[in-house]
Amino acid sequence: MLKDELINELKIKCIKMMELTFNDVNIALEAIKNHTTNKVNDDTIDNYHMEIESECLKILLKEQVYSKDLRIVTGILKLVDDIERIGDHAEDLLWCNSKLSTEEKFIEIKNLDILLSEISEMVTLTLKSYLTEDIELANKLIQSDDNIDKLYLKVLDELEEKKTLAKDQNLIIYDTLISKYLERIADHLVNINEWIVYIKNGYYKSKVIL
Amino acid sequence: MEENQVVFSVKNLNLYYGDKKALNNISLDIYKNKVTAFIGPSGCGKSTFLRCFNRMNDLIENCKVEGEILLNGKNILEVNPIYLRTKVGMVFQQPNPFPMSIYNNVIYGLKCQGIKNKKELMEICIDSLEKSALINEVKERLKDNALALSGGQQQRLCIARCIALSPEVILMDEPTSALDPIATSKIEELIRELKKDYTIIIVTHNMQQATRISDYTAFFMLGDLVEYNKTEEFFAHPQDKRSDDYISGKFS
Repeated sequence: MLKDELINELKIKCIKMMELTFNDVNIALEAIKNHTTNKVNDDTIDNYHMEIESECLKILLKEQVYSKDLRIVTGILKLVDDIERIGDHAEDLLWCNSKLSTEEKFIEIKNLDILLSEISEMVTLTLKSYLTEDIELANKLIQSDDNIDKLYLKVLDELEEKKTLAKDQNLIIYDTLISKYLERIADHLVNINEWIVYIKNGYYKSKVIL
Repeated sequence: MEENQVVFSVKNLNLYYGDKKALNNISLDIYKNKVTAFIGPSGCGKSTFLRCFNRMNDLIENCKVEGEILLNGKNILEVNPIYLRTKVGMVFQQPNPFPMSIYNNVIYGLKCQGIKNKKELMEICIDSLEKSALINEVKERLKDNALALSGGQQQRLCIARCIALSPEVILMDEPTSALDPIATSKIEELIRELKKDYTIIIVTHNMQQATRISDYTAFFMLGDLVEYNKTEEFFAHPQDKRSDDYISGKFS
């Protein structure tokens, strides 16, 4: 297979892995938002992770990659780690959600709902920024992390306030974990967007690394 | 690039083989104690351009050169070519030791210059073999025929022969293309050492070699200098689409 075809196939696999992972995240977000239970299995995502890593290394071993091609291969090699972690957190979210008892789910945590909706939007826009290599959008998403961190702290404050309302303290424990996993997902989305910027222009965290 | 000292300054250089124009209005500076790589597809003019720096093209019939090549500010077209070639040595694609002893190979140029003092000749010979990282392999057999050496050793001997004349610049025309990976690695290591004392210009088809050993890269195509930049910058962010296509293997 020609180098161009190998790199194109790599990009397509990365999109598929991202779509699968983000679909799992959306399933988890919907389940938490609607107080329903659901399950996801990230084995396929893990397989994509291994396969993409292996193909990146094979390309680096066998082909002379320079310029944009080198940034694509090394950028993808880095960002698949973040996608894989997001997949794990989607599973974690659903596991935490399954621990919440039905009646307790009716206690409203307003900031958690906002956090869920922010993450959902960030996931959609990250896929868009990757597909379109939209640097402006990627940078906007990187900057939005501060807002997510503030929101995460607000959720913790709200849980603290409402802990006396909860008959079952599992609500507080698992909602705290849920908000932490959401915050971690946002961090990984930021990393992905940083690699998208690097693939486009060689800048990583405002420094030229290639 | 401005912070470096210029050794060679090429200005509006055109070169013709008969009616055929092989180099088209080339202008660039070569910097002191740096390795500059010339890359490009076969027939692009990179070896022709390399030969301009010590006037090897003078030996080719119907070859006409226009423009200026200044060595430390002096036009080399106005310098005695024999003297020029002591200041600008050359190493070729195929190792080309003379059919004589290792010692006589190294001191050949010095003898041509009229140096006869045996002690001085031996000192320069040892020094040159040390600088070319060959001394440990040949010190016990300096009188042996150079043709008995391996290809990689022969190439390092040619580098020693070049160094013996104390050049300022060493030209290398695909010096490792006939060598195995181990001998190639030794020559590359040697080039990295030699640049502390000499300015090196190398023609190579091996782009990974260019990224490993050169500080600057010039990309040629159809007789044009397409792009000239720091090597890392050139291979990471080529400015011209033709450079990008070439290094990405889009055409050959």
